[in-house]
Formats: sequence, C-alpha cells, structure tokens
Amino acid sequence: MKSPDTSSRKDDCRNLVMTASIKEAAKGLDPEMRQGIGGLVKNFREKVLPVIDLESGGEVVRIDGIFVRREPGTQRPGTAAPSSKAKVSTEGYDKLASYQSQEPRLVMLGNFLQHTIQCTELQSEGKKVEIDGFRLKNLPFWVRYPQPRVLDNLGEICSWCSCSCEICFLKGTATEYTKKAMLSVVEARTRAKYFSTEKKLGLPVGHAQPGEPFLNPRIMDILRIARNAEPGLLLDITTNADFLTEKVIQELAGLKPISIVVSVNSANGPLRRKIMRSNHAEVAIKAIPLLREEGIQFVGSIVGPASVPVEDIAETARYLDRYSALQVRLLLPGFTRFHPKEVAFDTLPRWGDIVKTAQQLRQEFSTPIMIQPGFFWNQDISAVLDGIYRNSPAERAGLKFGDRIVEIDGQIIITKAEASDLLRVTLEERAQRGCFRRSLKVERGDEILEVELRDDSSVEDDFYPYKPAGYGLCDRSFRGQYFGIHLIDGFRLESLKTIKESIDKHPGARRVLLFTIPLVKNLFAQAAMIVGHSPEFKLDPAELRVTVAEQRFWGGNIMIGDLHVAQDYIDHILMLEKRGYRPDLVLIPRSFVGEWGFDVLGRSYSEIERKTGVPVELLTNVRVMM
Amino acid sequence: MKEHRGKKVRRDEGDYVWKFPIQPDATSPVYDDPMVEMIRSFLADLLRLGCLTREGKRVDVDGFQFANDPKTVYRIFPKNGTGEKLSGEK
Repeated sequence: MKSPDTSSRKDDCRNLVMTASIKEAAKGLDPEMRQGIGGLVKNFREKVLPVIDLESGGEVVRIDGIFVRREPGTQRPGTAAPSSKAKVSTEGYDKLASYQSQEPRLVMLGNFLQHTIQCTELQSEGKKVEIDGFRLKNLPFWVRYPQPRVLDNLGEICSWCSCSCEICFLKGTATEYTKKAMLSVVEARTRAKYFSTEKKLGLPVGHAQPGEPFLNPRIMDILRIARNAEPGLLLDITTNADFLTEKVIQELAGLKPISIVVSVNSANGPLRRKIMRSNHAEVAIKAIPLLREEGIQFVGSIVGPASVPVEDIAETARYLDRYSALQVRLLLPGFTRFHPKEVAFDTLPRWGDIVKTAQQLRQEFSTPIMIQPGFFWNQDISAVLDGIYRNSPAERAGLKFGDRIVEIDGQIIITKAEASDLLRVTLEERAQRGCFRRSLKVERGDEILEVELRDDSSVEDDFYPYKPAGYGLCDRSFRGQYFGIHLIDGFRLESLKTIKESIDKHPGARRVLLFTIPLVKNLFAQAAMIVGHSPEFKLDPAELRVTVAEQRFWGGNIMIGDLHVAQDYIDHILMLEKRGYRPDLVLIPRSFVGEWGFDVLGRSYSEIERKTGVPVELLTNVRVMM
Repeated sequence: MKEHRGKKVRRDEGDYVWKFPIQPDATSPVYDDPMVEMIRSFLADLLRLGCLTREGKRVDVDGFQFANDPKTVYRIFPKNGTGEKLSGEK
C-alpha cells in the first residue's frame, strides 16, 4: 500500500513517511523522537553510505527510503538467508570482530546497523528490503592504515598449520576477535594495488591466527605480488619448513631479497617428528643447507620444550651454525593454563639450562645466539653487544660479543637503546647512498678500543649471511641490525620521563601505582639510579609503588607484559585495595593494548578505570620488545 | 573512472570485496526499547574508543536522557554486567 505522503520520499527527517501497515502502531510516536532518530539515520545515509554498500542476500541494494518504526521490526539481524539469486554464500563474509584492534569504528558501524534494522524499515525502489550485510566500497577511502610494507598489509597468508607442536602458543588462544584466514590472490592483488608505498598506508587488516604460510597453495603467487609491488624491500617469512623442498627454495631464490625464519626446533628427524607431530621433518632439516646453497638469508628458531634434552638444542644450534644462519634464536618455552597439563614444567630450572647451553655455545661458534625473552638472561641496560653477525662490518672491525659501546661518533652512550638509535642508518643517509660509517669507542675488559665501522657494500657483493648477494641495505627489522651489531631492545631512560609526565597530568595524585613485569623491574631500578636525581625525572611529591599483576587469564609461566588483559589489572587493583592500599593514579605500559586501547580479548583499557574508579594513564614510549 | 596513484582505474574492476554480515549482538540488550538500546549501544561503543571532552578537558559520562523525557536517565554501561534489563531510572 502506498504511503499517503509520497512527496516526502526524499528522507526529509521532518516528514518521515510511515507505511500504512504500521501507521496504527505509530500513532503514539513522539515527533521529536522520530526527528532525532530520523536525523541520526539520515546522517548515516549521507555520511557513511558513500563508503559502504548495504547488502541483502549477498547482493548490493541501494536504499532510497528509511522509515522509523515505533515498534520493533520483524527482522532480526543475521536471520536473512542468502537469496537464491545470491552469487556468494554467507561463507564469503569476513569476520567483523577481527577488525576490532585496527578499526573498531568498523565494528561500531556493524553494531549500529544491527540496531538500526530493528527500528527502521529500509526500502529500495519502493520495496522493503531486509539488510543482512554490508561491504566496503570506495577502496581509496579505506587506505588509511599505517603499515611498513605491502607484505605487512597482506595480513596472515594462512592460519592453518601442518604441525601440532606440543607447546604451540596457539593452543587455547582462539578468541572471538581472531579469524582464520587463507589469503586469496585476488585479495593480495587488491591490497597491493591500493597500498601507498609513499605514505605507507594500506587497507584494513583483520586480526588472524598465524599459521604455516606454505600451506596456502598460492603462496608463491602472493609473494610475487608483494615482490612486484616493492622490488627492493626485504620479504620475510616464518615457516616450519615442512614444505621447503629444493624446488620451492629455488623459486624463493628468484624473489630475493628474502629472509626466512625457520622453526627448526630440532635437527634430529625422529625427535622433530615427535615434538612437532610433523610428517615432513626430513624436508625441513634438509632445507637448511639448501637455503645456504641458494644464498637465501635465514634465521633458525628453536623452542626447547621440556621433553627435548638440552644436548639436542645444542646440536641443532651447531647444525644451524654450520650453514651460516644469520642468527640462532632460542625461544624459552612457555605454556598457559590452556595447554594440556603434561606440557607444564618447572620454568626457572629449564630456562636456566637453556641459557647455560647458549653461553657455552657462544664460546664455540660466532653465529649470534638470541634468547627470547632477552631480559631473562640479560639484565644490563648498558650497551653491551648481544651479538655480531658473520661477514658484517662489525665482525671485520673486530668487535666481539660482550664488548660495551661507550661512545658513537663522539656521543657518550649509556644504554642499548641509545646505541641502537645512533647505529640506525637514517633516511637521509640512505638517500645519499655510498658508504655508511660510524666511529665507536668500545670497552673490552680494562681496555678502550677505537673502531671504525664501514658499510659500502653494493647489491652484488656477497657478505652472506649479513648481506647476501642480491640484497641491498634493506629496511631490516630486528634481525639484521645495522653494521652487523645485534642489540636486544633496551630500556629507554625516556620511559622515566614519560612516567613523570603522566603523573604531572594528575596534580593531586600522591599514591601512584606503576605496573611492570618481573623481567623489567630490575631494569627500571637501574634506570632510576642513573637519572632519578635529575629534576626532569623527579617524581616528588608523588609516591611511586611498583607492582606486577598476575597473569590470571593466561596462567602457566607467561610473564610477558604484552599478554596481560584488562581484567588482570582490575583484579590486582581491587586486591590491593582490600589490603588497604588504594592508589590515586595507575600507570600501565601500553604494550598490552593495541592502538585503540583494546587488549587481546577485545576489551578496552577504559574498563579498568570504570571498574575500579581509579584514573588510568597508559604509558606511551614504554615498551620493551622481548 | 577514478584516479588512484596516478592511474585511472575503473571502480571495483576485479577488486576483492570485503563483506561483513550483520549479526546479532552476542550480549543481551540492556534496554527492551530498540531505539533506546540503539543509542545506548552507540554511546557505549563510542566511549570504548575515546572520551567526550569539554573545552579540551575530559568529561566522564555514564548515562543519557532524551530531551522529551528529562526525568528518565538511561545507563550507558549496565551496573551488574550485561543483560541487566532496566526501565530507566528517575
């Protein structure tokens, strides 16, 4: 039945049209309320619909009429099945919740639509439509998310894994904010097409469970898309190497510069098969010499669960060193309350054994051995060298593991973080090309040595593994730090300034509670000793209490701050209050939340203040990579 | 034809389509009235992303009321967890 007031079809919020069928129910509708709701919906149509399309049964619909109902409508969200005309099934839909950490406004949009369809009637060309989805349109508008490279903007290539490692960190970690992904070539191509290499901005990426990328049958096509989009930049892949056959490795060599992190775990076939439940253990082990043969840079990664003897860890490390791994990475094993009970072990003795093994190996070979979390064994914030890469300028200059940098280009160095900053090759230096240099003063025992670092390698030069042939001075992440010096991420003295600035925002705060983690507490104390008396770091009259929140959600032996959840902090604050301590202000390093303040479970940090009544400041610039 | 990175591209030519279903809220509504619940939910989402300010200073809010019914205050965040149904408070 036609509406009596057809002249108002253009959504004028002052003349909302009611269909005859609900006119009776709408008699009591308050005009101001209708106007307000209508305004909201009209705004939505004008501002939001230019960047999204609404769908019904998998097909785009153009909405030209929005009617506000007084009573709830008959449509409930999620109930509209795809029509028989739909070209795609609901399986083709992305998981909206997975975008929560990067773009929660998209999730908010979904929520708004979900509520809107319950109290409005949407029409297209005079017919009622039941909306059950929406899609992004005008993709250039959605290119607004910072990412360093196209490869990063592709997201996870595959969320499934061919192994089932006994202490896989993914066991029990699925949340509603994580999706399982199998990246398609179409999606990869679209992402690469719209990525702005100049502004380093890309399309939104949903949070997906990491997995084995080579399980994606189109992995090579996808890597080629990333390579073609950014010809000079390093591609890096983490893999269990189950599928790194000779043929695959030869194809990868055609995509240089490329760097592979290989989750070897053991170079002993039967043991590897046992701990990883891998059916391709021999392929993975043989991949190591093949990578060397093809001149592909690689890092060997070993997680040492309690069932693996430390002697095997040492043998595996030697195997990696034999083939010139860039780095041997020992991951101190972790377990959560979600793992099977038999996986749990006594943490400190086991971690201690692995660290001791690493210290012995350092006397044997020169491949740097990195232990994560680094601060378990390395509690010195000064610029002691944690590793020197083979065939690097640092090695050629005679630097050794354990040397302490005291000066760079005439500037006194106190911490690792300062040293890393000054060693980093700047954009200006890169633009000028040519030779990169640094002059260092280094303490070794009682001696002070003066050392000149020079990197004037060209793309063709072969300094494997630091800079293999075909690799330029790419933008390397933590692995290939400049000049071949490896420094674990250090505690920054500026963190203390950040603490002071956060306290200064709350002039009345006297009892200030600072959360940290056990591994960082000592570093914080060292930093406080170095600069605590300086006026710019003084915290008076506030009294700072440093505390550690229990990892209640994850349990197990997890002690990394990045994995705390909002509820951990809430519980701890309430517990302290029961014991007679109520802070005026709480400071928390923001590493446990993403850009928008949501923890790994999708809960906003603002809940901490809401539930405890205590103001919370997130400390920016206070993050220590493990 | 649109321009992107200096190239003219036909809109959506072969591009991947990001589609999302509109799904029921996993949590129970706080208010029965869907129009009230729409506003409450919108404000709750908004306050999880940021905060409201007045003259540059943060303003904490926990409720809202409609201009045509100033005696009824609706809570943005339910007191006792989700699912609590309230009729509005005076």
